[in-house]
Amino acid sequence: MTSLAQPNLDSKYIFVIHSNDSSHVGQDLKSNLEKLEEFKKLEFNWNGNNAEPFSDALIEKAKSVLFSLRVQPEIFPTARKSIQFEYEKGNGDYLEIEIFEDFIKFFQVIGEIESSDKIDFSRIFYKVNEFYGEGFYQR
Amino acid sequence: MEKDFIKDEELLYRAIKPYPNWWKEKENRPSSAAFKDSLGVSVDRDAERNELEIVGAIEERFELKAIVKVKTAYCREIQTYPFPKPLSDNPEHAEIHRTEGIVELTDSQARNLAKSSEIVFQKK
Repeated sequence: MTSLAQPNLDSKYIFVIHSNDSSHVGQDLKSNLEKLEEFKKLEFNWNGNNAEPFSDALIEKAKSVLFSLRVQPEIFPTARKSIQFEYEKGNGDYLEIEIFEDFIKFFQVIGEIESSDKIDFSRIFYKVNEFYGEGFYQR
Repeated sequence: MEKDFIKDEELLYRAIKPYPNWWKEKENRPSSAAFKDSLGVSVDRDAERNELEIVGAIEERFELKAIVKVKTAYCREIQTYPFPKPLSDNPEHAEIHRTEGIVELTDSQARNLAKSSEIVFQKK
């Protein structure tokens, strides 16, 4: 790979991607899958403000997205029936993928310029790639 | 405390609960997910109380990971709509909405609140 010297990359992710030991990638994925299983158990009013539980369909959709990613995000539930994936670099650049049952959208802040839009499942991998810099992944 | 309007100088306190985890450990602040609620973002007004009193009152009601605060003026600067919504058991209760007519914050508003909020209480 030629991208080891990419500037402003989060060292945690560099380690995960470039390690020859794939168990590290597996561990992050496993941890996120476990979090999703925990989200599944959240009952009505889980946030103390009448939030709805998450549907099995949404949890499975989020799992599918996780399986498609080589860099695992931080994941959080929202009280608007969505699951949020977050990537954040040390320089403040930020990428958020928010998964709803019937659509997915992204929101990003790169150098203080914000953009957001709906995104197809198949484009998420490339969106993350773009966030970390072209050539970061081997294709 | 004005009942019908929150002054710019008032502080708004948001309880961040420990489960599910809304805390970004590396950045040591809440995720914007903690500010995404289709029913509105619940906060407590300072109502001219001292901070210890406010923290104590919130601690009595919730199990907490943290409490963060943000200035009302900042909420208005990012074009959210903070307004009083007193409850029978919490007269200082307020909510932050996207606008006067739309409840859910935008992604940008939620992130700005998460990034700009100041920690006043945190359980390690």
